[in-house]
Amino acid sequence: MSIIQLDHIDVDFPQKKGKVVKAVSDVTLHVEKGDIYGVVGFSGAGKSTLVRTINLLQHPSKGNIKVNDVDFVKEGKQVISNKQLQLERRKIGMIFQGFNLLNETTVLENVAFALKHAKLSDEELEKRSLELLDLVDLKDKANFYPVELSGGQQQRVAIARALANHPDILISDEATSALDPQNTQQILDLLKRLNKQLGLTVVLITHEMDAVKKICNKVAVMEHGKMIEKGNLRQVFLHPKKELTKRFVGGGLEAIQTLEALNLGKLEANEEVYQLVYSIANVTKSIIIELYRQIGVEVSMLYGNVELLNGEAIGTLVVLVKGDADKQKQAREFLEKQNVTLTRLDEKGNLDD
Amino acid sequence: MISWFEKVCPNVVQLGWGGDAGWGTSIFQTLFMTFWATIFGGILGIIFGVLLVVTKEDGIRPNKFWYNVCDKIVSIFRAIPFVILLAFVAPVTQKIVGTQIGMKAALVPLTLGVFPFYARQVQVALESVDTGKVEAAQSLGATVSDIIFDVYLRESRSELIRVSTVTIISLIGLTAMAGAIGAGGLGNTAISYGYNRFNNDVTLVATVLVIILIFIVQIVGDFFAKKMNHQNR
Repeated sequence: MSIIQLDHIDVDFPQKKGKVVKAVSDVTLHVEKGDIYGVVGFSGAGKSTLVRTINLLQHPSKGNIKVNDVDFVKEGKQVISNKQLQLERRKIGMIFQGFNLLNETTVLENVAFALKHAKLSDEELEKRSLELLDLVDLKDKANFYPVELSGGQQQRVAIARALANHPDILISDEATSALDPQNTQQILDLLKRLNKQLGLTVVLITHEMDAVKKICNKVAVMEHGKMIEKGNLRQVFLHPKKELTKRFVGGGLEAIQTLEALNLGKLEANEEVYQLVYSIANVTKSIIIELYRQIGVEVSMLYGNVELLNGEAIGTLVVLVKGDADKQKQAREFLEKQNVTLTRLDEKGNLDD
Repeated sequence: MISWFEKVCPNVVQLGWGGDAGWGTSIFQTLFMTFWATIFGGILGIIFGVLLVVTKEDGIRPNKFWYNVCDKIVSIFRAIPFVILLAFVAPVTQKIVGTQIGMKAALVPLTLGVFPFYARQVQVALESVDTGKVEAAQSLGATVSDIIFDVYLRESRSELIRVSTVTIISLIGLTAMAGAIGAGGLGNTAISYGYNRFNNDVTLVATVLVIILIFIVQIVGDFFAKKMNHQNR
């Protein structure tokens, strides 16, 4: 049973003169309990708009929304009362790019604000708030004002606040985008830890594929308001179907930049450039050497990269293969048999179909 | 010192401290009118300011009808020049207070004169609160009153103190005008005992006293506005 069910969601933004901008169109997303589900896409792809419908910060124009087995929206109409929605929202934590802490209250009061309706005595309230701050290692900053903390620390306070009411779900809306790499890593590690410790389901919206690669087990890719690809992270990463996804994975943009810098010039008739993406654990033999031995093609390395995909090592190579058409075909077949995802590129590193 | 002052400003000294025309009386009247009109006008202004922000199209409880009602009331009262408002509400004042003259009677037009100005300022101050903070509160399941008190009013408190300072200063200006139609206060002293009797020394001293009062309000306001500000700006 999915903990979050978004079915056929449309979000329209009416403009002047009767025009409508479709921010999200016909998107279905099911998140299982315990998932860390990444939603990636460039700015303006509609990923944030889509995910904000989960707690109805954004109302959809069409579709059904069911969270924690409670119907929020049916056929575009809100079916939950505002009062009930307030209660349900306490089970859905959310953190934002801009942290959105209350600046005129201390860190402790910020967390306590979320517990206002938890019917706790003053001592219990303080105890629970301090516990939450301890969870994010900020107990010693309890009496500071948010403005006195660094960005990463502020985001951790926001996480403590979002977790105050024991939510089952945490939505992260570009929560690491305003942070430096070190703080980003810290926040991502924290999310992963919370996912393991508390069984928290996390929905992670980001434009940085790196963040997804580090902690997600599932991923959805959005473009122009549509969900163009979704599924298991490994599946999407190793066997991307859509062009955009291919550019997102395997250091795609970096590989293109490298090829541009190499400035290969026109390819000869017997030359081909391939991008190879593969799981290192699966490839025990050196595929480059095997290509030469078995098929007899010459292989030059243009770009190489190894990265961790939710803990698993994934290699990306861009290679120039020399050989006639027949050999090229044999080489491709060989690679596919080895479970290597193969993409043909042109001399500038663009997809060549 | 005193005898020198008596020589330079004979009429000022002649008015004395107590009594109907005394300086003490007129200072008290000005403070009385400023204080109570600030309280009443402030409450009305905050209520209207909050309603305008909450019921606005993209507010937390959008409501076209109430937004328009509040918006029109504020606009209409803001459009009436204060001197005309004084005369215009005189019958209402008669009904509420029982008299049309004196400092208590002046509270009615002063409150009505100052609240729309304040309501607009409150509206702007509340709108300066980052919508992200409101969304964050909503995502935590905060109620409407939580959002009004803990997010809107609390987060904008420094800005609210700043606009309150401006409002009180303009209110002191209004009390002087109300003085001209019999509400008493320093404005009345400056006009009736100073200007009308060609006693320029009285006008001068009354003016200086009003300026001092305004400076005190400004300095106190600035102090608290700064002290209560923990924003990122």
